[in-house]
Amino acid sequence: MSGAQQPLLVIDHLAVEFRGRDGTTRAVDDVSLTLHAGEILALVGESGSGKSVTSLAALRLIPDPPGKIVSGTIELDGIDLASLDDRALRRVRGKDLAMIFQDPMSSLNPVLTIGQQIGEAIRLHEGGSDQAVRARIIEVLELVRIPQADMRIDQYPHQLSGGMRQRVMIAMALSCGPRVLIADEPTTALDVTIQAQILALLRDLRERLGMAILLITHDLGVVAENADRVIVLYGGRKVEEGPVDELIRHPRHPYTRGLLGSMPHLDSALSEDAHARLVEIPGAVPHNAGSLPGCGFAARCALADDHCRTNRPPLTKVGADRLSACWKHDQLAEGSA
Amino acid sequence: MCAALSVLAMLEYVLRRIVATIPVLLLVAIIVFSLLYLAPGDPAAVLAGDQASAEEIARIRSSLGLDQSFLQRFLQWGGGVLRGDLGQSVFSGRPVTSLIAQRLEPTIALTVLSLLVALLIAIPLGVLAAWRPGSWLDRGAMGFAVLGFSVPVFVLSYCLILLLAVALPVLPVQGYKPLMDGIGPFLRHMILPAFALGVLNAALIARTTRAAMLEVLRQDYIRTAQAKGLPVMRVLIGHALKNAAIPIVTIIGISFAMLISGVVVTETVFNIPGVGRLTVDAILRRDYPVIQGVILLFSVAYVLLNLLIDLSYGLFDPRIRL
Repeated sequence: MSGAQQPLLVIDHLAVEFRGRDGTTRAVDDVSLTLHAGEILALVGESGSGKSVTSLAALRLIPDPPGKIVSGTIELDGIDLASLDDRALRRVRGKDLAMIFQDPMSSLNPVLTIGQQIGEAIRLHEGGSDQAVRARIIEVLELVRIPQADMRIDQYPHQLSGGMRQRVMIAMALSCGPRVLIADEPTTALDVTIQAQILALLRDLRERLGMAILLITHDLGVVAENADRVIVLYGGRKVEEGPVDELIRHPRHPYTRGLLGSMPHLDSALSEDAHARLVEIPGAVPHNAGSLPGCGFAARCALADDHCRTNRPPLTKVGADRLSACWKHDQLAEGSA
Repeated sequence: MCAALSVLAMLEYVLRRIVATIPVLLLVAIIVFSLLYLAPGDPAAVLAGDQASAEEIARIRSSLGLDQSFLQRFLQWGGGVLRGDLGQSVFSGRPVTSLIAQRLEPTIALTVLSLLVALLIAIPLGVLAAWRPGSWLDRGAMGFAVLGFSVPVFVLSYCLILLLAVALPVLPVQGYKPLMDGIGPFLRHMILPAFALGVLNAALIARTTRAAMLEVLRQDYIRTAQAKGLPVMRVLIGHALKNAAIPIVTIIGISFAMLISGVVVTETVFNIPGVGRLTVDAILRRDYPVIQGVILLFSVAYVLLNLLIDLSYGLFDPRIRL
């Protein structure tokens, strides 16, 4: 990867809390990440792991109240987003830092045409005459391979299929040439063939436009095929980080291993082998995983001992570009070697 | 071709909706007519005065057709209505239609202006309250809504008169100047009544606006709009309000019924020669044809307004195919 280059997006020791009736919940705790130009970084975890909150925090879109960024910094190209006033922040949103949301059915405004919705971002950030804006809208619609763009531009979201709507979302995000694209579960709501098309489109756009992509997903299959690097989140904390091939081949955290184990493989599913049974991770993410004294995963971990339950494992360097927050990462290295 | 088809479909829908209002209007006509038939009191006796003999009353009664059967009288009246004839006032002998026509301008002016006042107060208030739920702004707006809804129109009217016409004599206490006399005097006489009546309606519309906006602001597409970098107002007005429009226009239609009763009170307090005053006078004089005519007019206006509002849904939401 382009390690020598200046990173585009740097999130440093981010912590986000939500105030609720039964006190405060820490949704994201001490998460750091760096994203370089042209790189696809995957943020992986199950529901409640803090991956979406992290991405929303990057755009400072956490609803406050009840949410609040309690510590940490978010820098885009060396500029601390927290130091920007609302007006300056709005100039970054949708321009340098754009986002695609999970559900294209609900993320487009049903009462505005797709042309209006894409056009307002262009008008806001780049300006131009009505004809110029319209030409640019058609251009981005064609970029995301929407056929008959000059007809689709005047249609409403309900007149488009799910895959088409997600393309519109991507077109909207790309319309002002962002340098960083955050894609929050961009394919979860789509069926498998459309899913593959959308991901191929994202990879292709990354090549052509040199964007950096922060890909948020719970699907390690998607990660394996699309990402360059992976960060695994659990209970709002980073538990493992590394280049995608190494991390998937040699996971150094039991949670990552659990995630990989619960993924179906075509070859093993076909065999009659008893070991081919999908292994689930027992239990669910505890609500207070972040505030437990020990490792947040200990209650669900087969390797956990008393030490794990009382002492929180620090993020440790476990190889070139690799981090793991597990007391037993050595054991895992031997086990999988 | 596609466009022509949808225009045809639209026309068909509108026609169907208009036809569907006919039974409603018929029912209204029957109810209006029977209510007064069943009401106690004898208009012949009222007309004849205190010293009239029984023969005299009977003569007046038969001259008014009050001695005929219910069905006969209803068919007679209904036939007239269909021909645009609402009968003659028992009191003045003049045609009901011309009595109403004379009084229509002040009432329409009052209704439209008070609705305008209501919308100007309610929409911004409801939108801002929903934008920051639980804030002092929200509490203030909803406090106003509760107050506006619970203070009777006549109380607010007299408070406004005391404040802005008596203590601070900047506006006339009462009366009406037609629009023909110039926009200045017309508005000066209309401000207080339109405001007194508008506040009541504003309370209802503000609450509905807030509720509809709260629902819309939770939607994912609002976050999309924010992620685009749109300023708050553009998000609230351009993205949220249009989605919240349907419940808001619906409540405006429903509140029209409330507005009518408010018009009667307001016109009386401010001495405005409108249909509301005509109604009150007609009731006091048991002037049956006028009462029937006025109630029928209000009912038809209510039904038609709500039909228009139903038809307007397609303008706000393209998913509603008419």
